[in-house]
Amino acid sequence: MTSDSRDFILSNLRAALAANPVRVPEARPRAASPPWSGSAQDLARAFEAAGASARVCASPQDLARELVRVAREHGAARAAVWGHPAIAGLGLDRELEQAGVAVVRASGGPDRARACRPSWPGENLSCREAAGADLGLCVADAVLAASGTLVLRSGPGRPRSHALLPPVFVALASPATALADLDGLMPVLDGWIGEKALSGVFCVTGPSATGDIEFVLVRGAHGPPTVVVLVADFPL
Amino acid sequence: MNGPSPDFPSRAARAAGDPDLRRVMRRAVAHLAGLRTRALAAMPDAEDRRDRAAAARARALAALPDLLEGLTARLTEAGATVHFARDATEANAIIGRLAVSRGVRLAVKGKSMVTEELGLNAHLQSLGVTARETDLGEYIVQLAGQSPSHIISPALHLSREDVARLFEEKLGKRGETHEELTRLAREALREDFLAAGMGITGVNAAVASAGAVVLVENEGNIRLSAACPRIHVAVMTLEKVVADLADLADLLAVLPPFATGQGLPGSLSFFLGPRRPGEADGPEEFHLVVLDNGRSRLLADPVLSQILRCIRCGACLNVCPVYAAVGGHAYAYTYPGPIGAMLAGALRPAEDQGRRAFACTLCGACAQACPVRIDHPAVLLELRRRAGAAGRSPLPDALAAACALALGHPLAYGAAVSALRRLDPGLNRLARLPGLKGLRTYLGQREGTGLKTPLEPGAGQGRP
Amino acid sequence: MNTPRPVHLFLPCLIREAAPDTGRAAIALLRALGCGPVVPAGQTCCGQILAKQGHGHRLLPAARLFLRLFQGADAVVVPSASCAAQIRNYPDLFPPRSPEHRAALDLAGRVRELSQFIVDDLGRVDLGAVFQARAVYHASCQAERVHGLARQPRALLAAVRGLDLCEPSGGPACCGFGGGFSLGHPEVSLAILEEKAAALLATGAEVAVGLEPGCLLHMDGYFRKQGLPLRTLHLAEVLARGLGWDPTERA
Repeated sequence: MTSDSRDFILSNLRAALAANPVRVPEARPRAASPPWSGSAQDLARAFEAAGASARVCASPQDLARELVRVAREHGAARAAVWGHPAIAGLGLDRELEQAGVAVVRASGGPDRARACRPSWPGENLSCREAAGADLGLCVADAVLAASGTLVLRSGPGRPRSHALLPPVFVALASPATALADLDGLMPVLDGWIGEKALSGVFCVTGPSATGDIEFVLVRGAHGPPTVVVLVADFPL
Repeated sequence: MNGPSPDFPSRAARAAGDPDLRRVMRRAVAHLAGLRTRALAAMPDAEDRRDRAAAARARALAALPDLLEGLTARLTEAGATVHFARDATEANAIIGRLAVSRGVRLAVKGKSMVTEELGLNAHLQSLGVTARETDLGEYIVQLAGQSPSHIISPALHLSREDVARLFEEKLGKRGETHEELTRLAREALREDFLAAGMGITGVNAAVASAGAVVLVENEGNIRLSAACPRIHVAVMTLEKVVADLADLADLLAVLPPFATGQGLPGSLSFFLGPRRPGEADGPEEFHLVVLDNGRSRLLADPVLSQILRCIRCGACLNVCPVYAAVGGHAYAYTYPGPIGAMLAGALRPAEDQGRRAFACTLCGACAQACPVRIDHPAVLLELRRRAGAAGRSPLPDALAAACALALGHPLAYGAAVSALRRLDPGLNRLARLPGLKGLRTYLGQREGTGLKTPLEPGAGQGRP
Repeated sequence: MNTPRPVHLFLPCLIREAAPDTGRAAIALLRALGCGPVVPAGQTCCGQILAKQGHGHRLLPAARLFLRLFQGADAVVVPSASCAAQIRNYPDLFPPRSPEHRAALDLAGRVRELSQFIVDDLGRVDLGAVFQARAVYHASCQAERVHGLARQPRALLAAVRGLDLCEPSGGPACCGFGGGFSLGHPEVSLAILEEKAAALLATGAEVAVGLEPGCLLHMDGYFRKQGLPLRTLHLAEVLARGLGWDPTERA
């Protein structure tokens, strides 16, 4: 019974520490994470350094154009799109449809993810749809300037698979959400987690990659080989 | 359940004489050394980072039971289930029961050394559940019917040609280049991510105050294993918890650089619980299995408890001359290299008998490389001391006793050495004695080794 | 620079029995520096191989002998970092606060590896030595990583005129000796040495210089068997010969 095991293990640990307290060595504290005060171009450079493509978009129209251009460049026929106010506000799903790209919207409504097939426990329909998409469109909740990292929270209307299954992952990023580095993210994370409605936070730096065969770097191991960041140099 | 096999010394000897393995290891080790050099060059504050990481790990160990309770409370609050398992049998039973009761036929797995320790895949297979490794290196070794040979890079002992042959044989697909082979694996596994009823991962760190299970990767297979299947099971050994996000940051400042030479991994994930209402993917059930398997006992040991600081970065393997010479499989244990020698001796002393601790030159490169400042040589020497006290030193007790006596008595020492010098200065006759095969082999590799004309008596009797 | 005074010299068993020229060189070197030395008769061995093979608890007789031979020594100089370190462990063999424990602690405080003695105690770096050779420095693991003896030997060698000293690319690396390891796992030991030898040869050096007799003997025998154009020399030999000591002369 696992709670018996739990009690057994915890009491073992307590007895161990009573017999042999652990000494904590000295360490110089980390320097505080500096506030970030760069430009959209700085962020774009950081994303590029991480292996993504990045475009700075000066206006909503510019961004919509860029998105359509990216979709065409990669021959995308189908896009999996987050149900996110920024995406809706910019009308990006309509823009894509007008450009001939079929849009699979992640609804935030009733959970339609269960389409039971004969073999229980069944496949996730939303993931299957994302697997059939050529492009996934998400919005970063924060970006880390030092590493060119996109920070994504999962949630209603924000399927995890949209940033994973389609071969092209497009993220909208805003300089207003930029933090200097990972250290700077921790207090923000604490705040998010404190709201208690969160299932996951994902910090993505560059495209999926592997070096597992002879240490030769190959992109697109399981996640997307292509990451495009559209940096909105205007209020998102 | 993979305990350390007793035939490690002979496997190591054979591996050291295998030119193909040596060639592969030479290349792998050179590459890893390059990653390390570049990572250190990008980290002028490496020593400070190591200090902080060591302190964060020590803080976690010092409060381990409370942190585990805190972690359990937070995760349970978020709708996850936390299971505690005393040993491998219990852990396997928990995961197996979950799979069977939920009707899981296929589980997709992220790379996880603890599940290797459990022998989980074999257990699941015995219940009719296929566990498919999805990390490319793990996928390759699974197809090959082998075990991983390195903590971070499981297939580093295989060449591209080996992988191409393997894929042709097992998948019926041809690929030549690294890109083609990777794409074949990607295509083969895509359907598995979608079809699997369960995703199984390890844990890099669990943050007690946040109730977060943290995982790093580059491929995306871990996130996929936790996004598509209905159930996510994360497995961790009990010491991998940290107090808070600040301590986590101290670990994240060293884990990617020391493991893969990166600043940050491709994906850093915080799993906080099952999906929330309205989410279209992510697991409906999130389980964390906390495994003891001998570690709670280890925390009580004044010298050995530091082993529990380990964050499984692989840095000690990468700099170990023994590992470089023999590769991971020679160790015949879940964990190879210096960390493996320590864990085998500390967790499975009856099977290991200190053998792996004695197979070490005590060069100290591991301690120098370790981001959490584990003193491997001190631990290994302690394991040797305990083995010796229990009569299990490779140097037989009778011989050791005779030598020790001679060392304390100059006349006896002098007589023995003079006799040897007179009768067998090249030590070749001595080497023919039973039990001294090592000396025979050693002498056979050399010329001119042996006792020389002694220093003239009274040499250097300077006035005090 | 500090006034030289006579020191006691502890010669590791490997030097006394298998590399006596290194012993002669150490004596000649210390004599040239005005430091005696006194080499007490009846030395045996520090016992580190026994200690590292799990038999450390048997070394009381060896420790007692050492205390007897070297009591009253101002300084005990040892041409080996690992032997010096083993002697510094002797206090652990005695009950804490016992007279022998105190004596062992006291003596441990006066044990010096050779290059450490010359550079740190005597304050000498440039001895005026001249030795023509292309050499590569073998940094023994114990000296380099464990006992903080990276600076002193290199400083002494750097000051030797005519000595073209380099480091192997890839930095300090284990030679595979590891004391008992080489006899317990000779195949693995050889594999490690093969990598080391390749790195040393790649420097184009004709001699590998180090301060650890075990490493040097381990490598030298292999170089000879393989017919490699490389030999080993102890730091003491380079310095002593550099000051005019002739290995073929007997005192």
